[in-house]
Amino acid sequence: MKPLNEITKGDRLHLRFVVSAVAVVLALVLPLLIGNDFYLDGLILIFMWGTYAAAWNILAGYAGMVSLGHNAFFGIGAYTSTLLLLRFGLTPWAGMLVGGMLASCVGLILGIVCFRLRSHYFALATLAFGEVTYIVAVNWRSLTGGSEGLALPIQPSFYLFSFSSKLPYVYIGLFFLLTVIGISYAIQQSRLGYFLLAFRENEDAARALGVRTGRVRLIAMVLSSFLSAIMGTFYAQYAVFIDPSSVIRIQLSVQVALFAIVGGVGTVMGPVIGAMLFIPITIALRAKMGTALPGLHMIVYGIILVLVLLYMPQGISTKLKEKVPLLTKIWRG
Amino acid sequence: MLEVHDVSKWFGGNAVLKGVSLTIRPGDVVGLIGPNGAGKTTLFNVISGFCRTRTGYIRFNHTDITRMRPEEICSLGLCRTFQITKPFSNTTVVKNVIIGALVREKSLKRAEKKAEEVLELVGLHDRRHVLGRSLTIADRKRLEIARGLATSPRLFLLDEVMAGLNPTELQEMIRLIGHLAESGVALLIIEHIMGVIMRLSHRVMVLNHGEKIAEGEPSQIACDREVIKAYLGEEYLIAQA
Amino acid sequence: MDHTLIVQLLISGILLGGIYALGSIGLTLIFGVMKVVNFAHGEFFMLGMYLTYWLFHYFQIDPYLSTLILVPAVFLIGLVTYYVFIRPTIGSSVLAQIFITVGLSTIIQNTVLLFWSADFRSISLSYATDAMVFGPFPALGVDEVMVNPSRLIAFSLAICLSAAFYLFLRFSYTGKIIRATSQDRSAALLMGINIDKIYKLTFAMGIVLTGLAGGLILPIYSVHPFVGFDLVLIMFVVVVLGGMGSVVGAVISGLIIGVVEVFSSYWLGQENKQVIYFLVFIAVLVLRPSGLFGLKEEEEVERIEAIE
Repeated sequence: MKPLNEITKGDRLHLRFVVSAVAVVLALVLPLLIGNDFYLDGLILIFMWGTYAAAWNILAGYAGMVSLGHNAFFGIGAYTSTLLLLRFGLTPWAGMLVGGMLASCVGLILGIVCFRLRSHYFALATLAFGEVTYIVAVNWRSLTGGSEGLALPIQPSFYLFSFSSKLPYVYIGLFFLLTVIGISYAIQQSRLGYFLLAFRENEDAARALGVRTGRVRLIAMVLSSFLSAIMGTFYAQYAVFIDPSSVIRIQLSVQVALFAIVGGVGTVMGPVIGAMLFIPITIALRAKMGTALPGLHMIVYGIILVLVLLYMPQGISTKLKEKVPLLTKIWRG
Repeated sequence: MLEVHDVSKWFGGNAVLKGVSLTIRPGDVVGLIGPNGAGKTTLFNVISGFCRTRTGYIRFNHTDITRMRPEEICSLGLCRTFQITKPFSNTTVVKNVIIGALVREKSLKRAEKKAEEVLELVGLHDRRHVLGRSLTIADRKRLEIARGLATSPRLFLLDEVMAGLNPTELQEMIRLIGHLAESGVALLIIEHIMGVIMRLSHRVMVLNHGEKIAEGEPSQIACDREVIKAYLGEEYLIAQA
Repeated sequence: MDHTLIVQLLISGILLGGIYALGSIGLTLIFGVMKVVNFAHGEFFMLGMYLTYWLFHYFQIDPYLSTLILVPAVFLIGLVTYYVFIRPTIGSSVLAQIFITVGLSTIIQNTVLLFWSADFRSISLSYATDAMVFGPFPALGVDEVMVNPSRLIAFSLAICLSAAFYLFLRFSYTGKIIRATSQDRSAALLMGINIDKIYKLTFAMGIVLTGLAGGLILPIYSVHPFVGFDLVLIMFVVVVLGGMGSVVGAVISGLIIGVVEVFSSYWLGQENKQVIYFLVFIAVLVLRPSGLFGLKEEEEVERIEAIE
């Protein structure tokens, strides 16, 4: 073991590579070892919500624009791919991309329309937008099936993005999660990341330094909505049933925000950590209480959210980094 | 280089700037003085694109920048600091400066290198990993300058960078600004500390109530009746007479 | 369209709007003074409704009289909420402020759900069941117009309370201090005003007004754990339309939104009516974020910069 100050950048990269590779290999092998469908389901949920939370984080954490209407994008993704599948037989793999692009367009328009809105006002605008989307989904029955929702075909086939065992879903979910983590990491290390940082810290100063804040915030918006919509499709394919209440309710938006905030908003792994923390808690609570104590898990969520915001506003991942400074130093320099 | 022609700005019913014009040539060091409320910072805001002028035009190196956005103006080479410093508080000093460097440098590596150079120049290199919010006033002012410098400006607008500094810090700042001037960057400096302005500037312009009341060499300005009246009041002039 | 119908809808809308107005004053004031957007505001409306319900249910206290009990009780709740949830986040990031109130809202909604179940509850007043009839007014081409007495009483009380509060803000010493703090916090600090005291007072009073609005509306609408959520959205529309921080704006736009809601409910049906006022909401945010009576944001910024 070299003493601390002799660890070079090369050593650091080497270490990061090895650790990441081990983690990925573990992640790939672990599902095979878990026979139990119950746990696999938990894993899928973690990957799905973790990815969605990370997508939300790109806008809220990196760009500093809090959106309370992301459920709309999730819903757009879910409904687009599902409707294309049911009406035209289009494979959800393609439908997913269409949904993503549609959501990005909507996100772009929303971003342009809300161009001048600051913080609170932006949050309110996205809230209104999310609610309008919900109402449209419920009332436009001819398109969306309204509150009855849409059921997806359960024929196992790769083309139909439908599988009889849970395992493929786990790996697909993992793939998306790793992709989003990769994207988040890439952004953080890039020029875009610096611009987003400047924008969220102090918009005026950023503009005075030549940061094209208008462009940068739209990029964040488009990315965030695209990825959220992709997750919507994934949800639809996994749950084989969607209705406004399962994909466009505002509570979903709040949930992913919760994961991201508790895990550490603005960090790469924060949203994932948040999901890893909360999904098991929810499953455990639901298993123990069932429907006996309705709303209990939401109370727990609320309390945790408030406690974290009061005492650990930077989130768990940042707190962890503070607790193990030595490891952090070795990892980051 | 910079041509400001007849700009004005109203807030509500108040005329904060009235028909102000000025010209700056490459390498000029121009001081901008005037009593509180004269409109100096507003003029900076108008020139740098944060405010719109109702009249006239502004040209920078023959490009009309009257309606341009601040970020576009900065990328053309006109940069400004803020009177009330705006550091990126939760970011390290070096990252603050890298952001400035990124307007010119497309590569992150080169931006990092540029940032290091600028920090050396400004004297913040040993504090480069300190977070923005932990900096002292003097260091914040240095950071404002460093960030602006990283954008490789041809014209640098400095807004009261001396305010709040103790004598030692003041000396260092004067040296820094002198160095900037020597390197060929044109400077337009708002300042209240007369001695500094008079020493550093080639030319001085005086604003009062939004209008230019005098312009010329520092020595001339110091004796100008209108200027003295603006700062010290009519009674002082009468008493002097 | 038939004149009678128009008048009928107009009156219903105004009566409803009065309650919205009262409920929204608190929200707008809290934002104006503390720059806090209270996403949990609707829950206090709901709590006001539940408290009034239990007082009626167990003690047969008339809902309009129970306002006397409501005021101190809700004031206390407001104070506690301020100390635990709001004060720590003043000056923090926008994210923290938004989500603390969102978290609070979630906690309150689901605690109520847990303890009092999701059942819809309502009360009916023996003296207020028969509709009052006005008119006809042949000169206007209007036949008889029916008015629900509960709505009329609620509206009258709401307007009185709003007016009283407005007068308090305008003419009392404390009221002036509150308005001063709302306009310029730094100046207020410099003048030795105890900002914390003002904040806690404003917050608690804002919550009380909303709770009272809840109490007034109980004879008309049923209460359930999530009624706050529906209402907070309406209140946000009202506040944004009126201008964040403007009490007068809140009252006037409360009335406007009440009318808009009733008319859109008639034309588009119960489910779709919300789309209209959300569209209004987005339109206001985009075209004139400062609303009808609020300060234009650009002006505010420029005023600060004009110091030099």
